[in-house]
Amino acid sequence: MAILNKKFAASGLLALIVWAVGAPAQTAALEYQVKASYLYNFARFVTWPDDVFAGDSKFNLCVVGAERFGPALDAFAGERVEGRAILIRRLERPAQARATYCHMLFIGGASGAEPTAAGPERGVLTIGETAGFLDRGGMINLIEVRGRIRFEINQPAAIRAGLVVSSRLLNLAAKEP
Amino acid sequence: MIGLASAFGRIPLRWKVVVIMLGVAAISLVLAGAGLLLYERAGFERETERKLVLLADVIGLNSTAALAFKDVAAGTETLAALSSDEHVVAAALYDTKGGLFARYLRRGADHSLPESAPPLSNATFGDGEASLVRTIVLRGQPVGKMYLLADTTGWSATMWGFIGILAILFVAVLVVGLFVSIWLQRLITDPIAELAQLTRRIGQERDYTLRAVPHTEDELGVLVHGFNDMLDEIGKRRGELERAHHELYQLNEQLEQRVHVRTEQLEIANKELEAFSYSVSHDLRAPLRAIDGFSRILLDDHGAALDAGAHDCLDRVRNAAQRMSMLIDDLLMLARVTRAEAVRAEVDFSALARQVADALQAQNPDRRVRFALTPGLKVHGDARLLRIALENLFENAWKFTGGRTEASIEFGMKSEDSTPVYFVRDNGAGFDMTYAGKLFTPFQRLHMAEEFPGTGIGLATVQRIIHKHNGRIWAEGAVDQGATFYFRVG
Repeated sequence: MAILNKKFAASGLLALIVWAVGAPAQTAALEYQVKASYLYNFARFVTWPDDVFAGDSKFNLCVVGAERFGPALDAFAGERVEGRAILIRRLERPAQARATYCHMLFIGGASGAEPTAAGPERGVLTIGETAGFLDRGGMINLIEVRGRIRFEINQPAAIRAGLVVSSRLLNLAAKEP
Repeated sequence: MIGLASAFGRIPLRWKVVVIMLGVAAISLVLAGAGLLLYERAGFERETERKLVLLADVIGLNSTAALAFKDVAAGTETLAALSSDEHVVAAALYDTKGGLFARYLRRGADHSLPESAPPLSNATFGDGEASLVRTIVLRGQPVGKMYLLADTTGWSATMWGFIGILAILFVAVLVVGLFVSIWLQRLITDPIAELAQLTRRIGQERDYTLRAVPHTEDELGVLVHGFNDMLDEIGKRRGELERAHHELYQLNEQLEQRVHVRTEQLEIANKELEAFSYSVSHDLRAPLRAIDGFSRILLDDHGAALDAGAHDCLDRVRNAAQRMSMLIDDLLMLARVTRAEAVRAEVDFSALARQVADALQAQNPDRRVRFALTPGLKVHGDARLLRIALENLFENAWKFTGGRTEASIEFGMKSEDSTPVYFVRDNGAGFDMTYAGKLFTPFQRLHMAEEFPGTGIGLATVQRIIHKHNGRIWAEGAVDQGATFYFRVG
């Protein structure tokens, strides 16, 4: 947790500096550090149905086309969600999600994959970072609002997948433009 | 304390009861009030803490997403919900690093919030405020801290309300206590006051037939019964005492009466006796004179016809007659002295002594006796009687110094116990102190009549005179060492 907190604080502070200086490469690294922590925090405000976890299985956080995260995501490996340790899975294609038993699937903007690429899968929280991600069936979409990373939520899609999103998270979500 | 106690001691019993009752009521009210207030305060603190914990937990839970996603605006908005509770003064959210994340201040409140998270604490109360720091937990993991500060103005309202109720209760107890005391008075103090009143009446009127009426059968009843028993006893004793007193008085009267009668009888007997002895003495003189006279005529007219034996017999008859005449003179004097009343006046005692001494010397011109008379002595007494006393004492001294070639008679005074004691001293034959007690008894003589002639009545006469002056006479002496007669005039 200490590491995570440091990352949070550092990212916020540095984001401000970088935004002022306007160095794109640096900005991208910091942006994905924030996004990594968002992924972790989404997991804490969403409840999965019990039957998606088999025995002593891990919490599988799958990412597709997310090379930009770099090592930022690994910082959360082993953190516990729903009483299970997080396991970071980097997939080639969204279709692999079913075989991997993903609980959370982040589809990077670079991959170009559709949110429904993994199929109508029960118990998988899909997160994207491209405009119109929710319209195409995604559940949470990370967007940038006035230099800040916010998120929007497609609650009906989450409900269809058997996921319960905390109202506190819903309150925090950016309203549809 | 002593002053207070004595001041309390003067208050009438009925007011003492009132004061004690109201005092007890006041003390119990104050104690009960204090206890209840403490209990109320503890309850208030418990309730305040419960409320603050609830608020902190609810607000904290609602802030978890804001904290997790670093959304200050959302956090501030969540805290703003606290404005619905007027007692919350300030609140703050701290992130996991302890940095100030979001804050809330009541409208108009001017309060500085700690910049970094204070240590966790349960509700702490102080100076009209209560503060609390709680951890905000999200799914078992801490995501920050919540700080809450509330005023406790609710307490002062509660407290003053409480004190007001106590004050009203106190006044009510005062009023009720007063009525109860008045009622109790009838029960307790009235019988006592009645008893006190009765005691006063008995003390003033001395009427021991009065009785107290018992109203109850408790200790007061016992007291009243005891009091009545005591009165019975006093009345009985008093009756006995009065009877005894009366009897004693009667006895005394009788006794006085008897003494009076006896004294009269005694006086009559005395007078008769005196008259008798006087007349006897007087009447005895006539035959004596006849015996002496005719004996002398016999000697003068027929002396030549009588032989020597008859002369001797007639001489003896005359001597005896003369001695008897002397005896009668002395007895008459004793009787006179006994009858006489002492008429007192200032007397020049020394001059009196000088006259007596001179007369004695003149009667016996052939003897030489040295008189040492202290001049200037005065005495308050009967001059006639005192002269007789001195004559007898001087004659006595003169007689018993007969055998001395250097005879001396002394008259003087010494002080004993600051009263004057007069004395007549001689250097004559003296006497044996063993018989000192017999000196003043009539007809008692310590010497042979042949040696020192006398009747044995002189000192008895002196003693009577001194007794008539309420005085005392005594003698000191030794055989051949002279004698001293002391006397004191009362």
